[in-house]
Order: sequence, then C-alpha cells, then structure tokens
Amino acid sequence: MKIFAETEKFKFEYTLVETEEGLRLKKGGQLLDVHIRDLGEGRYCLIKDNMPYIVNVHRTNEHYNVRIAGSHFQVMVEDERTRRVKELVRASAGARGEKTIKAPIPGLIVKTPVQAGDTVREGEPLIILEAMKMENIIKAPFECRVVALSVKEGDTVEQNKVMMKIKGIED
Amino acid sequence: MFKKILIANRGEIALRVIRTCAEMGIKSVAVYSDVDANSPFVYSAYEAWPLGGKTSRESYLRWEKILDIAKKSGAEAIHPGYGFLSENADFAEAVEKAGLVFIGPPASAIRLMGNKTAARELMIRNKVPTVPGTENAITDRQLARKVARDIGYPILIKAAAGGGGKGMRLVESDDLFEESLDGAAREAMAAFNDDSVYIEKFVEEPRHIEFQILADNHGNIIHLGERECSIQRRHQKVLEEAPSSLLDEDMRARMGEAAIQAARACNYRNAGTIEFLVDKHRNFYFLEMNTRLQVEHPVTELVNGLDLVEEQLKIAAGEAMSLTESPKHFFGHAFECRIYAEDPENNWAPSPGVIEFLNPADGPGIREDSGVTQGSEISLYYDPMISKLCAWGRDRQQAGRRMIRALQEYQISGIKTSIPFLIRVLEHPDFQNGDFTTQFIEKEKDWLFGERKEFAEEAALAAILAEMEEKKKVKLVAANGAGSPSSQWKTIRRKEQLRSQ
Repeated sequence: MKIFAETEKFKFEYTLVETEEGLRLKKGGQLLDVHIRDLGEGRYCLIKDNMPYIVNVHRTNEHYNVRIAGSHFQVMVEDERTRRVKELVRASAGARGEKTIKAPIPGLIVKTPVQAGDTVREGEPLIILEAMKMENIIKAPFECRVVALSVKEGDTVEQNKVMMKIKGIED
Repeated sequence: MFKKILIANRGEIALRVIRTCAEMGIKSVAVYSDVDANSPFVYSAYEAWPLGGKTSRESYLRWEKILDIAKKSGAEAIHPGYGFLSENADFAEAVEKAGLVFIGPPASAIRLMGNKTAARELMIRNKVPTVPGTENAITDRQLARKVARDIGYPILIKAAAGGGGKGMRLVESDDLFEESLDGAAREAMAAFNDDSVYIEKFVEEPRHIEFQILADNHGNIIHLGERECSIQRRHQKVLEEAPSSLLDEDMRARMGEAAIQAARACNYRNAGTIEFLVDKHRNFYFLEMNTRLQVEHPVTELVNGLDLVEEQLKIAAGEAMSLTESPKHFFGHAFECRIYAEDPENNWAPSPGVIEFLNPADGPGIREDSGVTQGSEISLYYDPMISKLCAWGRDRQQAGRRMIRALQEYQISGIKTSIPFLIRVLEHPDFQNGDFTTQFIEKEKDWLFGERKEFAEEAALAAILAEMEEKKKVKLVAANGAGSPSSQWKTIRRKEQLRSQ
C-alpha cells in the first residue's frame, strides 16, 4: 500500500510492504533502513541509516507536529485509502459553501463585531480573540453571510471550538 | 539585612529572586493567583500566600492585598520583579508608607522617568544625548524647514496627533522637504483634523544597546557594561547578549558615563537600565530608562560575576554594593534566549497548553531561569515567556555555539515555542558577524522562517512510523478485548487497580 507524507514544502511517497520482520517501508523499490522506538509522552527515537534522532511527534486533528534537531515540521500522513475518502468529502463539502469558524488557539473573546444574519466582506473582522496579551483578529475568508454565532464577548474558548458558521455569497 | 521579603511577582522572575534569598538566608514570601497554584515558584518559596483570581488585575496587581499579606507574614521589604507593579510609583510610595522597603528606586525617580517628555527634558538639561528634534509641535512652514536643516538629514516628519504611521514621512534631503511636509500635513489633517507636526532626526540602521547601572545610598553609582538587544519582534526583545559586538572601549566608556549621568540626574537608587539607540555613524541617543530589574539581567551577571538581585537587596537594606567602580573588563561573552510559548511561523500566535514533556538543556556554560516544569499549564492570562536560556563562553563564537547546541538539546512538547526560530537567528551569517540592526527579523524573514529541506524526510518518516506504532497498539488492545472471555466488570476493576498504583 502506498503512503504519502507531506510537509509544507516537500512531498514524500513510500510503499508499505510485509516482510519477515513485519511491516517495512520502501522508497523507489529500496527497503529503507529506518526504525522507531517509542520513548513515551510523544517522544520517539528515530534511527535512519544508523543515525539517531530524538523526535517529538504531536498529533492534532489534521496533521502531526514534528520537532527534530531543533527544526519544526507539520506533516500530513495519508495512505491510498484515506486520501481517496478525503477527496470525496472535500468535493461534497465544497459545494455547499458553508464554513465553520473554529478557534485557532484557546483564548478570550474580546469582541464580536458581527451578528447572525450580517453580511460581511472578505477580510473584514468576524471575531477578536485575545490570548497572552495579544489580539488575534479572525477575518472573513470570503464574502459571506453569518449563519450562526455561538460565542459572546467575555467567553473563554478552547482550541477548535466552533465559534461561528458562515455561508459564502455567490455572485 | 532583611530577614524576610515578599515577592510581588510570578513565574521565572519570582523563582529568580527566591533563589538569591535562599542563598542569603532570607526567608521569601511568594504570592500567587489561582492559575499559578501549581507553579514551581510557589513551592520553592519559604512561604506561599494565595491572592486568588485569574487575570493580572484580579491577582498580581491588587496591591492592597499584597501589602496586607506583607504585614501578616512579617515581611520587611517587597521585591516587585519586572512588569506588574514594578514601575508603579504609587505602589512604591504605598510600600514605604506602610513602613516597608520597596526593593527598587525611589517613587520620585519612577515617576520622573515614566514620563517620556519630562525624562527627555531632564536628559537634555544634563547633557545626555537624545534624538535631536522639536520639543513642540510646529505649524510654521519656514520654521519647520529651518529646524530640519539644523538637525541634519535624513529626518522624520511626524503628525503631532499621529499614530499607526499616518502622517509620517521620511525625508532624505532638503529639496524634498516641502512636498513631504505637504503630504504629511494633508494626511494628518484628514486623519486627525490637526496638521501640526514634529520633526525628528531619523536614526539610520538603529541598534538597541542598553547599560546596566547600580546606585547605592553611599554615593556610589556605577555601570556594569552594556547589553545588545537589537534582535526584536514587535518591539519586544527575543535574544540579548553582553557585551555588544559594536562597542569598543572608548564608546563603552562614553556611553557608560552618559548612563551614570542619566541615573544621577533623577537621583536614582538600586538597579536600573538606560536604553540607547545607536545609529550607523555610531552616534548614541537616550531612549528611555527602565526603573527596575530587566528580564535580560542574567547576561550582565554572567560577564561580571555578580548577582544583581543580591546587589538590589544590599542596596535596599542600606548596605554598600559590592563594587564601587565600573568594571573595565568582562569575563567572556553571554547570550540569552527568551523561550516563548508561541508559534513564530504563525505570526507569533500564542501557544498555550500543557507541557507534556520537558527535558531542558544542560552542560558546559548553560544557565536556565525557567518558571515552568513538566505538567505545567501555560495559561492565557499572563506573558507567554516561560524560560530564559543563557549560554556563556570565553568569546562570542564559543558562547554562540553553546547557545545553538543548548537550544537543539532542549526538549519540550505539548506547546510550540520560539526555539526553532532562535536557532535560525543564531545560525544567520550576519548575526554571527555582529552585523544587524533592530530591523533584522523583518529584513531577514525569508531566511529566518519557512521550512528547510534538512530533516524534512526524517520528520516525514517519524510521523509515518509513529502512526504505525499507534495503530499497532490500538490493534493489540482491540485483539485483547475481543478475544478475552472476561466480563466488562473485570476490565473495569483492572483499570481501577492500574489507576490507584
């Protein structure tokens, strides 16, 4: 089975094969000399071609946050099957033009400049979220109508909490 | 010397003060908000008293309550740390009025240096160089042009009522003055309904260099050399060092003398910092005075072999400080990296959360002042700085190599930090050559941010293999569950036993 890993700028493709020692990864027909040991708490020791790396792997909803040798990467992992399923989901969701606005970070709602029913132009502020003395303005990704607003000023929100539903306005 | 003091602060700086107290045999009293109840500084102190509350206003800014705890606990003095109440003249006064000692400057000095205009006027009177410019707003065009010529180009025209860059013009030469003034005045009129402007010298390729000073009640005022703080994001320092690669002995002596002059002018006592801007022609100008212990004070300690908190305590207790003359030489070189819970790659977005794993750096030449531990929750309520990591070396090169090594070694998971960004800064060739200004991060952003090919494939493989490990575990659990004839009750019982172990 094919496995794809994508960072922000780079794409890698491997094949998962069954061997006598269990599942192994192949790249371009060559078996890779790579192993991993779980150290607990999201820490792993990766050994590739006899070179060890301490790696932190942290799973979020969509991807893995990986820290290795002082560098940070966001890695998306998919196999053939999940990739196909995702493509189908994406195709059907895109048609409706509805989007939920989730909290990108935990924070305090400082201001909600728009209300349900309002029409908002692209780039206009939807919600102002504050965390650690910093204001984050969440802007409309496209021209839209606010379908539902589920937070109010003074609320504390967790990360990924759905704060608002918007629907794109077609020309 | 005091027998007991209260620390009106939190996090790493509270712990920093507690440590010196412990070394000097002084009992420390910590005060803490509800959010900080499990913080290392709380259980490191000799006594810990709850303030309640979550936000700063509900906790560390409640000075009546803090004074009340000071009295009840029998503390003789209050150390304010930095931030919160440290530069609040009213608080300093209230502490003294309550019969306690404020470990910092007199309220009058805080008040004077806290007023930018008054501080600037005081510096001009005392011959401390300030950025040349008009004291008052100008509406007369002829006068404006004359002032610009006297100051010397390049200059900045700034709308008196301005802000956010509106009504601001950089003017390179005299023949461009008229049209720039018209433009600035028009913009200012439209935005603020006021077309008066200030004219100020434009500081070319500025560097931010500050001097640590100490003054006691026995007439001693000294400086402990400079700190280079030009590496800033959003006007906040992220990496500091001592000494600065820009200064030679002559310039250090002149700036140090100006810093002492500034401190003398406001009748300063205790530890303070004079911030200067230095332009590309090596002219230096007074920017402001910080009337407290600075975040970045450890680099000064490392190259001077002094404990600044100990000096603060001695001065506040009326003793003479350890040195009576400004040192002429420093021991090697030191860097400080501020580790923030934030994501530099995502416009410095805060990254609160729980520190799931922590194994900080160690080894030769490394000092860490941290406020957190494994399991700590980084809340939304306070500053995102969680730790200060310092490296000392015999020269700038060795200190820099150690700093990079320590940052690579530092393991923290659960939150994002500024560590990967700091490594990039330290690896940058211009930074290594000492060739940078306060614009460094903005100017070099393509180099400092974004993914690099190095380690990308190892990261990809780690994610794939970690996922495979997880799936293997899930399968094992599922297989055990399905194949086992034992009842649900047994499983629950077993889990309970595991939990109580």
